[in-house]
Amino acid sequence: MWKNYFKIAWRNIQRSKGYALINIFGLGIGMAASILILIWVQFELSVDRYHENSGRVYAVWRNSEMQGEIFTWDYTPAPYAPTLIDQYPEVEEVARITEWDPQLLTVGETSFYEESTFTDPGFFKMFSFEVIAGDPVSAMEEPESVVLTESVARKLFGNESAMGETVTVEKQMDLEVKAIIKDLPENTNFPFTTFFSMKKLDQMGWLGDFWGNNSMRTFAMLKEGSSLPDFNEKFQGFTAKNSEYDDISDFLFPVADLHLYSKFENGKSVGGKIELIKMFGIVSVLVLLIAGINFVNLSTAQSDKRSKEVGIRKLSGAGREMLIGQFLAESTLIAVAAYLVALVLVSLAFPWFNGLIGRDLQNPMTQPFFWMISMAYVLVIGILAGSYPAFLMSSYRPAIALKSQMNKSRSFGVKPREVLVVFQFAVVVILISSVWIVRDQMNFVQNRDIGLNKDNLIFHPVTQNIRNNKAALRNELLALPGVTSVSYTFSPLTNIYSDSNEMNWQGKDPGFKPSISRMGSDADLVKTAGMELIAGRDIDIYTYAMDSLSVLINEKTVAIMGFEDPIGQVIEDDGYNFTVVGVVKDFIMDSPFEEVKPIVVIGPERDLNFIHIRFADGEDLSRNLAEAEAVFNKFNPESPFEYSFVDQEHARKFQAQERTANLTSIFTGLAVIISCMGLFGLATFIAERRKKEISVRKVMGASVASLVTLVSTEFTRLVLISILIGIPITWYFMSDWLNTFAYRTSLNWGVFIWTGGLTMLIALLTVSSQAIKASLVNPAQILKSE
Amino acid sequence: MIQLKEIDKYIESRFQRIFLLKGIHLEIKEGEFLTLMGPSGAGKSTLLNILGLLDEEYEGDYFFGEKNIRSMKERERSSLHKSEFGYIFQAYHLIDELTVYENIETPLLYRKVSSSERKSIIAELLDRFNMVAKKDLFPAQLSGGQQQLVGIARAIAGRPRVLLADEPTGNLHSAQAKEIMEVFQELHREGTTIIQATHARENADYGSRLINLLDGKIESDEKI
Repeated sequence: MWKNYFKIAWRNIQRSKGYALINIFGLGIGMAASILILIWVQFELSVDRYHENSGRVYAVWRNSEMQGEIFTWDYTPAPYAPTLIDQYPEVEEVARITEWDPQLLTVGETSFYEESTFTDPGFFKMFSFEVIAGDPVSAMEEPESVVLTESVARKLFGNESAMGETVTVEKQMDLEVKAIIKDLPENTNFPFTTFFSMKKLDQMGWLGDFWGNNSMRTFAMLKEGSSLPDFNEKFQGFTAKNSEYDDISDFLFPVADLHLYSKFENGKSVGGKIELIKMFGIVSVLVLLIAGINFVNLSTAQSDKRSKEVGIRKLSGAGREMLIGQFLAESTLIAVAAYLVALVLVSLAFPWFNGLIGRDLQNPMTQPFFWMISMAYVLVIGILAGSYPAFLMSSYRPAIALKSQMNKSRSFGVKPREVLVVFQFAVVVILISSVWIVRDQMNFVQNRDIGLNKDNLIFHPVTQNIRNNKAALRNELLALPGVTSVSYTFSPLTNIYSDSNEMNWQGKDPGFKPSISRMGSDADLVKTAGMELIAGRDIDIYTYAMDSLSVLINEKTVAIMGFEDPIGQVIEDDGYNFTVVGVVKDFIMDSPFEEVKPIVVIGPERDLNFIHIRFADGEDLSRNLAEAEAVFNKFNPESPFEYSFVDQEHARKFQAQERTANLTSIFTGLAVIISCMGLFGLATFIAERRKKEISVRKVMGASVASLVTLVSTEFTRLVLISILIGIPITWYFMSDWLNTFAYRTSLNWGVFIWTGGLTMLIALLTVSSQAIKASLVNPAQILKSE
Repeated sequence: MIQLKEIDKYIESRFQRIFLLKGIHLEIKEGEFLTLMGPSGAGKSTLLNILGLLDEEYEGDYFFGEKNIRSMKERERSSLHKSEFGYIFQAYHLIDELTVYENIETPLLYRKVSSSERKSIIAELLDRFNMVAKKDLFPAQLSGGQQQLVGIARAIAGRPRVLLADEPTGNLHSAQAKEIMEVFQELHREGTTIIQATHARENADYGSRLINLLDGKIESDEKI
C-alpha cells in the first residue's frame, strides 16, 4: 500500500516537474534558512549552561539608585568575595575575575598580548573547562603560577611541554605554568586564554580591604539544595552591612541566564540577547511558513487535476483516511527531498554563516542528535504542509469528482489560497521595510558626527618600558615627518574607562549626582583627536607645568554643570581640584547609538595608559607605521608593536548591528525568493487554467496587453492588500525598535512607498512572464482540443 | 437482490422542483444483465449513481438484499460499496500515473488482499483480456478499447457481485464496443449482475432486460 503511495507520488513529481521543483527548492531554501538559525539559536541557548554545577553557580549583581533610576551592574571590590563566603554558610565557593586589558606574555624571544584574568581557585570548581595537564584549582592556590590554554601554550612553547616552564608577564613577574586546559569553548562568555592567581595580586598588595574600588566580578556557588530567592532575601543588605556604601543592594543572578537575560531595568532582568534570538526564531519560522504556503497553494491548485484520481480511488474502495495517508506520504516525500536540498545548502553556507554571525560553530551534522531532530522536523513539516491539501482533496465526492466539474464554478467568497498569498506578501513587505529601516538607522548613526577625526589615528598600550621613556618616545615620534601629533591618554578614544557621580563643582545641588565620564591626557589631545576647541586652550603639560590639575570638558559637561563661563571653573574629583582650561565641541567615545555623554579630560594626574598617534593625512600610512614601529622598538624592546586604528575600533561598535542587519537582509532576500517562486507557480497554473477563457477573449478581439493585465490583476490585487496589511504592522514594531536607541532616525513614509513599489514590481515581474505567455497562445489550437 | 421503492430525485430551483427521477420502482434479481436506455437527460446516470451508492441525496427506499441502505451506518455502506460493486466509466478513468498492472491492483490494495493473491488475480485477469504484454504500459500508451478492458479488469478484480457501467462503449468505435460487450456477456454468464446505461440499442441485445427511461420515469421494462 505504502509502496503504491510513494510510487504514485514519485510519478506525480516527475510528471509536473515544474511545480515539484518549486516545491522542493522553495521548501529546501526555507528549511536551510531555518536550520541555520536553529543551529545558531541552539548555540546561543547553550552559552555557559553546560557547566556541571550550572544550576547553582551565580554571578553577583548590584543595584544602586542614581537620579531616581536604578542602575544594575556586576562589578565588586576585592574584599567582597572573601567576606561573602565568610558570612553565608550557604555559599560553597566563590571566585573573582579581573577583566583587564590583554597582558603581555613573554618566553625567551616570543612575546604577545593575551586576554587574561586574575582569579581564585573556585573559578575552576564552578566552571567545568576541560583540563589537559596539571590541576588548575591547586595552581590558583599559589601566587607564582599561571594556567594556560592549549593554544597559548603552543604559541609560547611550540611542541614542547609547557608544564613547569616559566612565563614572564608584562616583563615584570615570572610565573610557572602549573596547568594547561583546553581552549575555552566557543559557547562561553569568558574570553580568557591565560589565568593568573589572585594570590599574586594579594601578594603585590593590590587587593586590600577597600570597598570603594569596584574592579572585579564575583561569582558564587551555593550549596546544593539552597534556594536562590531565600538567599537573595538575606543577601541584599550585604554591601550596606559591610561597608559605608549603604545605597547599594546585592543579588545573585544565575550564570546560566547571564548570556541571554542580563539586561536590567529598574533592578529587574528584562531580557537581553534572548530578544534577538526570539526575533530570529520568528523570522526563521516565517521563512519556513512562506515555503510551506507555496506547497499548500501549489498542491491545492493542482487539486483539479487530481480530483479524478481521488474519485477513482474512492470507488476502488479507498477510505478517506487512506487518501489522507496517501497525500501525507506525498508531502512527506517532498519534505524529505527538500530536506536533502536543505542539507546541501546548509553545508555549503555553513562557513559563510559562521562569518556572518561572527562565531565559529561546529557543523552539527556530525552529531547523532541532529539527525534525530531532523527526522522529527521533516515529518512535522511534511505533515503540516500536506494536511490542508490532504484533507481538502480527500473530501471530494467521487460522483462529482469524476465529472471533473470541480472548482470550475467561480466562488465569490475569499479563497484560502488568496489568504495565503496575502499572508506571504505581507510578510515580505514587513521584512523588506524592516530591513530598510534597520539599514537607515545604521547609516544614520554611522554618519553621526562623533566630534573626533578617526582617520590616520592609532593607539598603543603604554607598557612599563614606555612609561619609563615617556618623554623621549614622544619626542622621537614627533620628530618623524609623518607624525602630526602625539598624546598620552587615560583610555583609548573609542572607550570610556571610568565615570563618577561624585564630582563636585561650584553651584552644584548636593542631591544632583549625574554620571560624568573621565578621560585623561598629557597634551595636544584636541589636535590628536581632531576635536574642535570652542573656548580656552588644550591641556599641555609640557608648556604649562600646572596642567596636571587642568581639565578640558565638552559642551555637554558645560550644560550639565551649568557653567555660564566655564573657563576657570573648578571641578573636584577624587580629592583633587581641577581647573577648567578649555571647552571642546561634544565628542563621543563609547556607543554612538546613545546620547552624548559629559566627558571631563583630566590632566596627567590620571594614569595615562595609552598613547595616541596622529599621522599626516594623505601620506603613505604603511611607511609611517613602519617608522613609528622603529621608534617603539627602541623604547619598548622585545614587545610587539600592537597598535589599533581608532576608525576600526569605532567601526567595531557597529558589528552587532551590522550582523543583525545582514542576517535580516539575507532572510528577507530568501523570503522574497521563496514567495516569488510560489507566485510564479501559481501564475503558471492560473495561466494554464484560463487558457480557454483567454483564447475565447482573443477570438473576440482582446489585445495581448489587455490579456496580460487581466491575468496580472488577479495577483496585483492580492499584493496590494498585503502592502496595506504590512505597513501598519511594520510601523508599529519598528517605531518600538527605534525607540530603543537614544540617537535614532525617524520613520518616514518614503520607506513604505518604496517598499510597496518594490514589492509590486517584484510580483509583477514574476507574474508577467506567465501572463504574457498565456496571452500569446494560438486560440485555434486551444479551442480545437476542447 | 436490489429493490428500489418510490425513488424521487430532484433539484430545488427557485420556483419549482426539477425532477431528475420520479417514482422509480425497480427490482433487480441476482444475475440479471440490465440495460438502461433513454435520451440524454432521461436520468440514466442519475439512477446508476443511486444504484452504485454514489449518490445518497434522494427520497424513497433502496434495499440491497434484505437491508435498507438508508438505515445502514456509514461504515456498513462503505464496506458494501467496497465488496459488492464494480464501476466502469465511459471515459475509462484510469489513473494516468499508474501502469496497467498497478491500475488493476488498486482496488485489491484497498481490500487488503495479500501480495501473492494479488499477483495471481491480476495475472489471471491480464491473461483473460490478453494484456499480459501490456501490463507495464501507462494508460496513455493504450488504445481506447484496451483502456476500457483495463477498466473492466479493475472493476472485476475485487470480484464484485454487481457491475455498474455508465456508457462503457461511448468513446469506442464499433469493433471495440463489440469486444467489450462480449466480455460483459461472458461475465453475465458467469453470474455477475450487470447494470449498464447506454445510448446504443445494439448493446442492449447482449443483456437480459431492457428499461427505457424518459424524463426521469420508467417508460418500458422488457425482457430480451
